[in-house]
Amino acid sequence: VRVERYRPALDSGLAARPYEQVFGSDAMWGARLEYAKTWPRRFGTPGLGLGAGYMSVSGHGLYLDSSGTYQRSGDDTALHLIPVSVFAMFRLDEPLRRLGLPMAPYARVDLVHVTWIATGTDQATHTGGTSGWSFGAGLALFLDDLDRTLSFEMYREMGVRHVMLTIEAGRSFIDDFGAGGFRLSSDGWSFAGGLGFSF
Amino acid sequence: MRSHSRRAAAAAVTALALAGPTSARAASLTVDDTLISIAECLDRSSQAVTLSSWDFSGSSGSTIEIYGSDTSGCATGDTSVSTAVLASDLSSSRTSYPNSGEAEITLADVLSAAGKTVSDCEGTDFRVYVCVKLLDSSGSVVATASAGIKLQLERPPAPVGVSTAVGERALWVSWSAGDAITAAPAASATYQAFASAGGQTYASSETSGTTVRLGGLENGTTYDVWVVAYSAAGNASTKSELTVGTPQHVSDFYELYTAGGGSTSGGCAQGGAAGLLSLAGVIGVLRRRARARRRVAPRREGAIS
Repeated sequence: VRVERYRPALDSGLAARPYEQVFGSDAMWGARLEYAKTWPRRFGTPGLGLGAGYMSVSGHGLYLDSSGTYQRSGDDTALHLIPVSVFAMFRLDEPLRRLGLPMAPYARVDLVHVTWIATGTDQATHTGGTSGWSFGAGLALFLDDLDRTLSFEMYREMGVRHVMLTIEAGRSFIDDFGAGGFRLSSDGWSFAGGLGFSF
Repeated sequence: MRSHSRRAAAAAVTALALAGPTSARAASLTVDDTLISIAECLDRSSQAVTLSSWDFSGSSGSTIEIYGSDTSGCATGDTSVSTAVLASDLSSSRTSYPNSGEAEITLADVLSAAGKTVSDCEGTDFRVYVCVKLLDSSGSVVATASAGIKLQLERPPAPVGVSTAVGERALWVSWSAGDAITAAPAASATYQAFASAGGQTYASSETSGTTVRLGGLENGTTYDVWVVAYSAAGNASTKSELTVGTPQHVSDFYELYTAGGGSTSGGCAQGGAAGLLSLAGVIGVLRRRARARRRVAPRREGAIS
């Protein structure tokens, strides 16, 4: 389960910078649920997974005043994104655990399809989808050692072998693989943090 | 009484334990709509008072009488209390009034019994009471159930600080609650914004907040805008000070993006929904398999992150 912060590069190549005009400097916040099948090995843990999430940003529509300058209106407008992804990941956990370190760096590559929904007050809702890929790298901190008794109970009662706190940085290239479209590539690096459960 | 359009229908219960000469059992009475506005007070003759239920908690008697009074309990024989009978000789098995075919008790009847006149409708708040008394065969009161009716005759203060923001064929109107202009103003329960131009007036929906979107207007037309507050009973304040606003065409993000040259081609909106459904299915299957494997070989590992 992860929470992420991301700003789409929708203003890329557009002189009017509509995202910035409407949403300002706000990044989008969202959450994502992911499931990965992993295969622990002595050299680390590779895995394949699926994920889906939701994120949004909202602002106010603009109107032209008598001098021809855009002004903020009272009407709301928003952009909602529903990303669905498949990913491959590798976590360097076993070698570090053998050294007694309760943490593991990891890396991942995602294939992503993002359904986008743009809304505006008193106007039609527009939807579409853009595909692309992303990569990320992060650090997983194993929380098991904080309370061994609780960790054992969680395994016995729910089958949870490890609980991990993760932080991650990444970039996404969601532009229909260079074909353009509704460009949802990240504007610079995006960041995510989450909680992982290993069964 | 008729339900008032400016507030939710009230159904208040006043439960009282009042002693009769021979017993002191708890009794209760429910009267529909126990909060009366200035307009309803002035229109007193057409405001029916409905006693939807009463309960004497097992007390037994011969007949029932209904009273109106300026005092809870509707005491009789006390010269300082104004009380009068509104209905009598009702069956002791009755639990409501009126039944089909019976004459309605009006607010005018209750106010008259309580010694109130039409001039009282423009004074300060007061209460009147409706009582149901259970009498034994000798005419003594066995039990009394009483319910109060509040006449809210104060008006809320007019809203202040009214401002407008542009909307698409609409104006966003904001305001603050007004300052008290009398010693005991009624609280502002709801507000309504109005816009007027060319002899036509438009009203927003009522809101308990301090911002509302007033739609149905014409872009490019300048409107006079004001706000009125209403008390819980529905008494309207005086108008706020006038301000003006002009609806304009508002561009949302999508319009600005496409107008600025942004492309939306490519992709497929349905792909996301299908992907979500597929994902949910795959997760379900994998979890079932993981559970089954754990029962057999608990060292195998999967992960949700």
